[in-house]
Amino acid sequence: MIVLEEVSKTFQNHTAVDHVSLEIPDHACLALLGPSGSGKTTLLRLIAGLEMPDEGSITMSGRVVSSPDVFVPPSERRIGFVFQSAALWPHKTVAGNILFALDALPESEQHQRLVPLLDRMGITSLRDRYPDQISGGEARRVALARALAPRPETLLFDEPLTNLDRPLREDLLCLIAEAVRANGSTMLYVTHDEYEATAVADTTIRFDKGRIIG
Amino acid sequence: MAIPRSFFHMFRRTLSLEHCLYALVLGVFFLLITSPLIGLGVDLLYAALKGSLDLSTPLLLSSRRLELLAASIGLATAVALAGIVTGVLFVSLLWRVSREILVFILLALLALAAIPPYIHALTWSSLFGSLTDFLPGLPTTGWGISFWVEFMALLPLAILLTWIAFASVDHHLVEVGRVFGSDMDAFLHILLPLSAPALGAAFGLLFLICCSDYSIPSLFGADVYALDIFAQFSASGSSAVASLYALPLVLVTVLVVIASRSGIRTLAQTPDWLSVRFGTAPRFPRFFVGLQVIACILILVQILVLFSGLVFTTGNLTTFIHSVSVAQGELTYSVLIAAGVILISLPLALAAAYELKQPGLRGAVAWTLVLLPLAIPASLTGIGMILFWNAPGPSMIYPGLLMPVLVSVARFAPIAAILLFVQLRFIEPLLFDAAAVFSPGLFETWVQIRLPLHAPGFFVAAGILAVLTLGELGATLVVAPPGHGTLTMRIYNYLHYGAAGEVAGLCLMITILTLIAGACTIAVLYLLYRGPGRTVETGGKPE
Repeated sequence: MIVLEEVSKTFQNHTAVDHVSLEIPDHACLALLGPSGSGKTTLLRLIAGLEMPDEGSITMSGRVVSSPDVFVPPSERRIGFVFQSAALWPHKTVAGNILFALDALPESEQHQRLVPLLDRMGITSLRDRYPDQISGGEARRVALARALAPRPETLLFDEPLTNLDRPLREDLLCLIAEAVRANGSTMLYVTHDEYEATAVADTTIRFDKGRIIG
Repeated sequence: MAIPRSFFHMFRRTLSLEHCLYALVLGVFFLLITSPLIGLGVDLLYAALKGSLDLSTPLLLSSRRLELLAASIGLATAVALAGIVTGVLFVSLLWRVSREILVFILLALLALAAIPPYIHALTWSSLFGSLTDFLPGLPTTGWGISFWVEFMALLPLAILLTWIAFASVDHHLVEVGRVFGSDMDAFLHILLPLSAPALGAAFGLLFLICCSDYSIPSLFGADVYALDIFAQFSASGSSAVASLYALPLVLVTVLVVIASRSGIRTLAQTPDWLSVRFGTAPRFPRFFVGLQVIACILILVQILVLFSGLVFTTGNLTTFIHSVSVAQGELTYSVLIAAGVILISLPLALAAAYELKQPGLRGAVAWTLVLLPLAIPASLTGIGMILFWNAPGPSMIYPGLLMPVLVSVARFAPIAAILLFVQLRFIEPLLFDAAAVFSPGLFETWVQIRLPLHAPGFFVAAGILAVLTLGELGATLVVAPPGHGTLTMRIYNYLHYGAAGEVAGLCLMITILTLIAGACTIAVLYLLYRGPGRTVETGGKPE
């Protein structure tokens, strides 16, 4: 379970997250829906450990991961993250991008995980290509595969289908929903698109001006 | 009919007043920055045609020349490498500081980077001189101390360039790395490989600066190739012989420029690098933190030795006032030269900045021409300037008071062009399009729209031109008219012949002038950063 207690974050004079409290049960699929600039990405980054809260605490699986006194680095939070852009490392191949997330495992196990994952995402033929040699949709599949590879307890999605056309978005939405359920992870999906929120999540929370509004 | 009409339109467009002015200013810019090369080239050709030249000179490297060349390259490589390694360690430490402190440190480094190298030579030689009382065997001359002082002098610049190199990497890619691996893994496997081209360019820039500078090695009794070019010219009186003699070093520096070109372009194109930040501090292993602390101590030592050395060697206020008053003539001439360089360089550099923005071959040619002067050792630039301006046409310029101005324009106007190019990237192009739609004429567009938008870049470039010109020695020494010297020349002479208190007073004066120029530049850089027309409005913050 992920528990946020009175979490706040301010950038200079702008309060991005304002005393937010939230409980996300294990295996829940939750969508955070809000307009641009509402602070939903900051909330996601706080959970990931990419930002430190100014106030409040974040607990994951019963362990405090962020508070004014405690900070657990992102790599130790057992999370997967799919960013707004695919954010693939340009100097690594498709396989290299995914294998980086499996670095802690023995080499034989890395490949045991890689092969079925590539197959499931339909990107086996791309494994030796570099990010600039694949399309936008393929890049999102690779980003999803990278997030799923270490079998994280929590999957975080930050508007992962931005700038994709409708058929591709629908295709990837199905893939995300299917992959999350197969993985058994808790999911938090941030979007400003109501259609995406309802298509991928069981529960939708509305967010605006740094606060949960419904 | 369509083809002749489009041709006519293109022809008319090219002949518009704006385009003609642009072409004229651009032509003058490229003529001035390549004038030393033109002078050297024509002189070489003339001497070769006359048959008065042994063309095997560059090929016949005597053991002494080979030794000098290897030592110069070795020194420059060692200094650049030490600078980049320290820069990488120090910048990875900056990752954890708050944004305000980060901006302060970077801007302070910018001001420190502008302090001329010979001032570091003075403070470090004073320190080593004092230390010999306690450690009699401590060497006070030679390659070791030359390396150390050159390293200390270039350290702030190395750190700044390393920061920009790191900032050229999309920080989201590093963040993804932090999610999937440890901070050390993200640093080693993501940040370092992705910033490698820009780090390579930073290495190249430091290498070029070190290769073309002879002031520090010569003060510590270490002969370098750049100094020998000057010595060769003085001994033989033949510029063509000196040019041929310089060719092996120029070949090396040109190769470095070519190798660094795309990386330098990446460095210059890094958008909004002051706002790059990471939300949480990284956790590095202990050994790495230890190395970071050493890098931090090095920069603190650099600052401490610089300022305490200057104040203690100057002694008291009377010595300071005396040394400044006896050098009033040089001080006035130096300030006038700096003002002249700014006035001539800025309009020319603006046209060049637009040219650097061009895509494809045109942009590539402009970048090559702009970076080429960096490959020419300062002393050779001076010789080339004499050859160009002493020709029958423009001979009224040489020997004259304007020569030190022109030599600094040739050396530093390219840097102003790169700075204005960087600022140009911060300006939303639609603002210019809107001006073209709504403005009644060309003059109004420039006065009311373009110049105010370019103003912060002009101020920054002016500040940097001023400090570079105040510290210029290698080329000015060659072209300065008889009876007229700059402050830097006077200091350099003092450094050779003693008079520690007076020279420290003058160095303190130069440092104060540099820091004033630096502070003004920083103030305007802040305006540039906060100023009008910036494309990025989020300041790097997530929504």
